[in-house]
Amino acid sequence: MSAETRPVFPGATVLEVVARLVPESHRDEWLAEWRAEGTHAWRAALKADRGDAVAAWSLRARCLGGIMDALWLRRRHGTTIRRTSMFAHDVRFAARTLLRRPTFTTIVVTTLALCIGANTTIFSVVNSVLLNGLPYSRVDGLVAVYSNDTKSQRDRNQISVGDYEDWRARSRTLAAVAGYFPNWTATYTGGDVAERITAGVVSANFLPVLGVAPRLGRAFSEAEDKPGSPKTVILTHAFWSRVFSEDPAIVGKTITLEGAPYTVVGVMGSTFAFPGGKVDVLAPLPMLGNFLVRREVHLLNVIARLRDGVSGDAAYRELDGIAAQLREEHPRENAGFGVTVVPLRTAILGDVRRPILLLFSAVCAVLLIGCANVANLMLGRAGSRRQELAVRVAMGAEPGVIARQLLTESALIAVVAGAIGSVLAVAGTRALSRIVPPSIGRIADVQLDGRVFAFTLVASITAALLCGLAPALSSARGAAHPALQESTRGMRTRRRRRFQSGLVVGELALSLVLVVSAGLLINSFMRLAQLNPGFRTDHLVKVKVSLPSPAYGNPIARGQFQDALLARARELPGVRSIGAVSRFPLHDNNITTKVLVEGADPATADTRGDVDLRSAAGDYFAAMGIPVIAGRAFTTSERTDSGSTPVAIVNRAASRLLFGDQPAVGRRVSLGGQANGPFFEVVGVVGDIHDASLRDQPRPQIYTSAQQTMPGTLSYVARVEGATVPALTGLREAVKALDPRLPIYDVQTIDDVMTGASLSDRFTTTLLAGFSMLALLLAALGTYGVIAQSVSERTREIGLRIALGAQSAGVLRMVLREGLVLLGVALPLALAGIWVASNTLRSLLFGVTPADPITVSVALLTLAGATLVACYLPARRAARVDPMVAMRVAD
Amino acid sequence: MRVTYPTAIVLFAVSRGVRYGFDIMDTTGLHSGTVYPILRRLEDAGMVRSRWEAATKARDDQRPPRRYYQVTGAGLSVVDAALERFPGLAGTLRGVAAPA
Repeated sequence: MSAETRPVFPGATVLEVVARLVPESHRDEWLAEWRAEGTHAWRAALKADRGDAVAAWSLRARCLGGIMDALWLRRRHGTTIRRTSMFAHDVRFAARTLLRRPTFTTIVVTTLALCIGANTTIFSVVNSVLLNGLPYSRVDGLVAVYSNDTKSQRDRNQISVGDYEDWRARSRTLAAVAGYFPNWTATYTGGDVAERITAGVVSANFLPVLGVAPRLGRAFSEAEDKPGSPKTVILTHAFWSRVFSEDPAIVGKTITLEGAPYTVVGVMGSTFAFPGGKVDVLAPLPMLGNFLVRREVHLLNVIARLRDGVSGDAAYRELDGIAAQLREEHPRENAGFGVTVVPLRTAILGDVRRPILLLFSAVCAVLLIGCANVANLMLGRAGSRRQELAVRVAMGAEPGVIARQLLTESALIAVVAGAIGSVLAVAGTRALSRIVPPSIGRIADVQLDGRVFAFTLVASITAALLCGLAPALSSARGAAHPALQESTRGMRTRRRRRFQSGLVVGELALSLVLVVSAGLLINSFMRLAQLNPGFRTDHLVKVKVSLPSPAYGNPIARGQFQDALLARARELPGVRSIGAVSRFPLHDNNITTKVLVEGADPATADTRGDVDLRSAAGDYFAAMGIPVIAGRAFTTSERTDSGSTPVAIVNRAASRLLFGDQPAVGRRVSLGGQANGPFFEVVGVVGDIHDASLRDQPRPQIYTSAQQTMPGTLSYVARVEGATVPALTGLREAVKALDPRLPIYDVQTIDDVMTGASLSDRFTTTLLAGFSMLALLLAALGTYGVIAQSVSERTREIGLRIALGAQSAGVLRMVLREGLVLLGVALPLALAGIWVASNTLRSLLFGVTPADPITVSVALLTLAGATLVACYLPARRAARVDPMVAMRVAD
Repeated sequence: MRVTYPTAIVLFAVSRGVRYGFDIMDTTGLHSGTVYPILRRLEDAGMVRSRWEAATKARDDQRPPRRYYQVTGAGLSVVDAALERFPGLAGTLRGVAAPA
């Protein structure tokens, strides 16, 4: 406002001063309003002839009151507006700066996006499996109870129904005890379709103990726990959706399982997770039939809820006492059985926690390496922006402003990288959920949620700080003292170079830890893959057929079907041999029995570990390639209806366990450990196989003849010549030709079975190998960046050396040495890291120790090779420096 | 927004046609350090809105244009509520007739 129009009234000067308190954005408007009011008031006073000193002081006082108005405006708009506008300005400036260097920006954004994407993907697994917790009420109060088989040193065995009921009746520390059998298979028939489904067979109080309720209908009643009670089921949400299209009126309707009608009494919600794996329906205990009354059959998993205020240890002490009572009451069935009590969370998550945390640690290390790389690139770039920053300081920019600006650049990079990383994580999580092994997938579906995205945000902010802080502080310090720049430049360059070298040392150390870890897992996985399971896996196919009651309730009918299918399959083109087995190795669940050798003291059977029980038919051993070491395989003449002697075949481990060094063939054994039989004559000894898992030692096994025991479910195994697909199709058609309503499932080659058996190892190994390769690449790029920058900054020095007679090879060696020194410094750090990682790795390894010298050496050589390659390019450039050109280069 | 007694007086004054900051002080007897922050808060809350008077009128009077305040629909309903809550409010304004 000009001097002519400036209002003159008492208090005008006061307003000028007070206006300084008003935020700049509101200042002009504020001043205009107050001046207009002051002018008007003074004019009015003069006009009314009241323009005396009192009026003047009154007006000044009013103007002074403007302080309150100014302060209010300052509090309301001042800082926020200023900050907002400054932030917007910084972001715009950062975007323009980054867009001017598209190559640099692309490299750093891609690096961080990959790291953040990988982190988010693995975090989605951590979140779904470990953080979201089990979908049960008050999980801390839930424990899993096992029988501890001291004879075979297996502390987590299932429990017999008899023991379960005794524990339930006698325990005072447990508020409730529930039992379940995780995967009872049953044939569901709907219309003209038959399907094999999995039932979780549970005690009536199973859902209340977990603290969950069905979404529709009700839980099982205590009456439904008793044999002979009406048959009822609860559908899982997935089965209800898939088969009944979420029919809201399903409760009360009947479905057919094993040829019998079952009334649907409830439907579980979509978040319900059955602790034993994925099931289609829940059914009450009577579905287990005769197994319910046999105390020697250990088949129930038991969960219990502790009474309020009772610890797991107290419950263990009490149950251990009850187990001792049961050993006295049932000396034959319960000899050697104690109890194990573990929190349910540990029981369910224990096996998967370690590999998941290993992968998460690895991916965090990759993020750190990525951040170090980006920080190095930004430090290098800050060095080349010295002139720009000096100009900005000369124009009045404060060091804090420059630091803030540089931090904004890294924040912008991290935000963009975080956004791209989120997109990568969506794709990564989808891919991961397809390959996630059942051990992890059974606990929770791997998916993205708010917490995962919050993690991405935190990871991005952390990345921004890690990448941007050092360059920002370094640049701000340099820019703060432009006058000292020349005199301290050498010192600052040395300090920066040391810092950058430190970052590269960290990258190399972390990547070596990852490469060694991945190397150990790969080594372990290869040993597992090369392990001879005891049978041939090539050109072998199988189908599983289940014969439901009541159509096949009669053993004769089952035997006839078995014979007919084996005969038909034998005629199929390409089939060389065909047999059948009740539980297929590395795929089906185990079942064990006590074995008493005829004439031996029954106590020997009680004190000896159980033996795996299988039934086999046809040319099972020939088809599988399991060698018959002594005696013979089963023959077709050994049938129940032929009155032949019951026969059995033992494997080498069972022969050793039962007969020591004595020949097994011709001896008789009682299965179930009953002294009065029935007895089975051992007719052969076959080779050991890895049945439960490839990692475990082969267990003692006894095979009965399926033509004598007639099990309802058998896997038919065929060894074929040529392609496996026609044989599988032929087997399927052979079953359909005999009975089109029979469900056929588990149609697969044995290579598929083997793949399935190593799925968890493959998952961890593949991901860790991928992360270690990414880490190796990033570390090599980081090394390249630092060495290249060092060469560039030392061009003049190198030129001088060459001018003074240094040979190209000498310069090459000098630069390469620089890189190897970094690796040498990283080595002890890496060894310490490997030592820390080895504790986690140990339980995941097979046939290899965490300190395996070959693996560590190969990893070290790989990293040294990558470092040398990364150093070679700048070294070659250094060796070719023209001294005349170099001397002209301004430092 | 919390409607205190001074806030109710200022809002009531504006609703009765007292439009300028200094005039509101004269009418209500409140100090400038009270009136203006209240006006800012009322404007923030959408109970009053402000305008600049026409430049021609100001030029005719040989003074700068003044900023005037008007009550909004939302403000009027608050005035009604304030009159119920503070029965003596109607008689507090100097030189303004109380509503019938």
